[in-house]
Amino acid sequence: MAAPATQQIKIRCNDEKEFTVDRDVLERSVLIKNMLEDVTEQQDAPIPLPNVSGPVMAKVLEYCTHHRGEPLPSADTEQSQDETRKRTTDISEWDQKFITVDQEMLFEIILAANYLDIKSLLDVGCKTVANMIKGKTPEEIRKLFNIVNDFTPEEEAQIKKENEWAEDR
Amino acid sequence: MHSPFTNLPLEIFEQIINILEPTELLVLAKTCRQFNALSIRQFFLLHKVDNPSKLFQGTLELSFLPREEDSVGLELTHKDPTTFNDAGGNTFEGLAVAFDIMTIEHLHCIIHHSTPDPYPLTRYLNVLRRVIWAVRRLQHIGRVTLKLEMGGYLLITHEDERSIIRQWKEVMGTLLNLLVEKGCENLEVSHGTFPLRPLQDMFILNVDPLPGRQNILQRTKSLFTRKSKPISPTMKDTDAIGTPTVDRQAVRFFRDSLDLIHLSKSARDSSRLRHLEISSRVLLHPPCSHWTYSILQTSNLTSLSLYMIYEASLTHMLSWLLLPIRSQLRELSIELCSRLPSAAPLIDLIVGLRALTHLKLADPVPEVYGHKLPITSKVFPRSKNAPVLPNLVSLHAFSDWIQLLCLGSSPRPTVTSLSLAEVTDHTTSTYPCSQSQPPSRPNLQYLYIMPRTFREFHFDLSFNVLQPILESSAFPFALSNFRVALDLRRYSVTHHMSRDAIRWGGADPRDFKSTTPVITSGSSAGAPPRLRPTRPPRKRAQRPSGYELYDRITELVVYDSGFFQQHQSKIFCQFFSMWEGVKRVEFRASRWKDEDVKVLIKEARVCSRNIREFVLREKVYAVDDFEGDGRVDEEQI
Repeated sequence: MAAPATQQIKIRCNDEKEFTVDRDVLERSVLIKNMLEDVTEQQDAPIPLPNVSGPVMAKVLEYCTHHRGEPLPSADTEQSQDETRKRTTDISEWDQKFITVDQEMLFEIILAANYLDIKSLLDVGCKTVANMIKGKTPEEIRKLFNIVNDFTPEEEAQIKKENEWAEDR
Repeated sequence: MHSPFTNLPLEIFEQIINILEPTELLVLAKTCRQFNALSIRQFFLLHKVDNPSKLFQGTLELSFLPREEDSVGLELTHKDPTTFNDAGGNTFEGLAVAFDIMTIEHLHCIIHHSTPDPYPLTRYLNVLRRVIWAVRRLQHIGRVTLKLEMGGYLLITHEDERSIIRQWKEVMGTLLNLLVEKGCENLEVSHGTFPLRPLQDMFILNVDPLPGRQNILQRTKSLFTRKSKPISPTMKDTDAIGTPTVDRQAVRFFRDSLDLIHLSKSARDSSRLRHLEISSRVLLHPPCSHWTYSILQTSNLTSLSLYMIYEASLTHMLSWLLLPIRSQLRELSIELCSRLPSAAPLIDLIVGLRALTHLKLADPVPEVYGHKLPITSKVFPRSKNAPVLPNLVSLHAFSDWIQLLCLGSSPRPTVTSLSLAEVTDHTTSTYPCSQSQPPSRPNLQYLYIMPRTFREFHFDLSFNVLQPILESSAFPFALSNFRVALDLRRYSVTHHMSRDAIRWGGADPRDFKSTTPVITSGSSAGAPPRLRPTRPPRKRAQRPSGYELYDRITELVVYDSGFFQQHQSKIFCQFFSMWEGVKRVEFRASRWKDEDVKVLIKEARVCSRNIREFVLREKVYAVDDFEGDGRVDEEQI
């Protein structure tokens, strides 16, 4: 990382919206971080991000700006975190407030976080979805996420039976 | 309808369900197909991580619904119908992952057959392949109940025959052998529902993959047409069947001509199978029956049950069993679905099993074959030295068979429990075993000459049939447990009370006790002495002496095919006031409701102190549960 921390990077989203962001903020994204490392000389052309739209990117940048400077999870810590993270759905207060968006946006953020490879943001998104599922009936879940019930009545009866023994452990 | 959730990439979805608790996974699994597949898989992965052994202690019950090829599954990549991926519940995907570190005590596995649109048989077989695949990962499996609902597949088109037979053989053979290799001790294979119409020997007659089918058929049939004339209902006693003359050559030819399922050597060596129960017509077609024959020769097998066998399958089956068996078989149950062309193979089989202690020969549809079996006392070769079935303890059969097995050789001091397969005298009205016997009565002669070691006797006979036996002074009085059938439709209140309808037992107990039991001849036993009736009792308190005889009746089966009628409770009560010994009443009354039974329970509680439980359609009503409602003062009694 030869570039100074205050370096400004331009990015362009799929809806032609451009952002100029501090490099350390953008480097929350492993994808962009790697890109920048690959590019040695200074470039004025904005980095194209064809999978992310402007409004979503704004949201993502808001997250990155808030969490700038925090250490990125390395491959090793990621592994150990995996163990402890499992089935804990605690989200910090700021993140919770940040992620309180409509469902469309939530999944867009999750997809963007996945694409940009921002582990912590992806975690927050997944936990939020998991929290939405918790304590609901299948019908409520279908309604909430607009899921089409594609079971045949036969299968549905089947699944009910299938799961009975599992629930009665 | 757009759902961003269902469109998430797989890796993100996995990350989300990774956070969920097992119970939440199961909820999510019920939302749609896609989530079902993924959540169930995760569910099992989770249990593998947390506590692998916890989940599968005890019975594991699985059911499979073969799915469409395009159903979403994690590893759904192939479209080739012969691979594992196009069918089968996704549940099993997850199970297979979880399986390899586990032992299963009881695997209860139902493979569903879809109506109205049956799946191709290939897909069905693929589900079986999945079962194999998963079982292979197990270290041990204790008990397996495999229920195959595949009635629709009996209609196989001609073009499919060869490949179907080959696949069927491969899959069933692998599965059966594998289960035994994994230490299975108790194996039950059955079909689900299927129509009761005769299916023309699907695998042999219709789908025989080999040339020369007619030839094989003829040779097979020749196995069972003995030198003696084919047995018919009009057969005389003189047509006794001689020593079985099995056409060994025909057997060999038959065996070599068919694509058989063989018991693998490793399965044979490691077999711990003790109980084998097969109730299916298809599974007992010759390829499988050869396997059954082989497993019979393993040292551990002691119990064999064959149910729902179609005639042709049974004769084929028995052809294997005719070969020398060094089986230690102790329990044998055979239930026929249709009549045998000849009873000879079955008799040969039974005679050969000398270690047998429990024998059950029954037929769910008695009128189909019951009266056709030409049983005479000479069917068995009478041997002075060696009685047939020297170790028999318990016998359940039609009365003719009982007579045959008990009279055919020497007296049977070993038998302590008898059970009659006839349902009631009036439902199976055609049961003549000789001209002198009234057609509506089962032959009960043997009862009078049975040894005194008898302890139990079960029959669903109507009271009319039972009564003369009970009142007979020649009856073995060591008997204590009766089960009696009672058809309430046959009695009205007045009818019931009249002397003609039911002669209330007037036997003098002293008379009964003083009579030394004699082995009477058949003719006198057929018409046991009837004693003069006395006045009918109206209340329990008025029960005259002599009714102790009826105290031997401990179980009552009540038939009624109609709706419950109020006056029936009075009749019922009358019977109860006679039979103090009854502890258990079972209602086989298809249209009765719970309330109706409760009415009767109330009545019975008035009349009887000993009654303990009532059963309607397998639901048990314990009398103690009715404490408080309907309880009667003791003084009244």
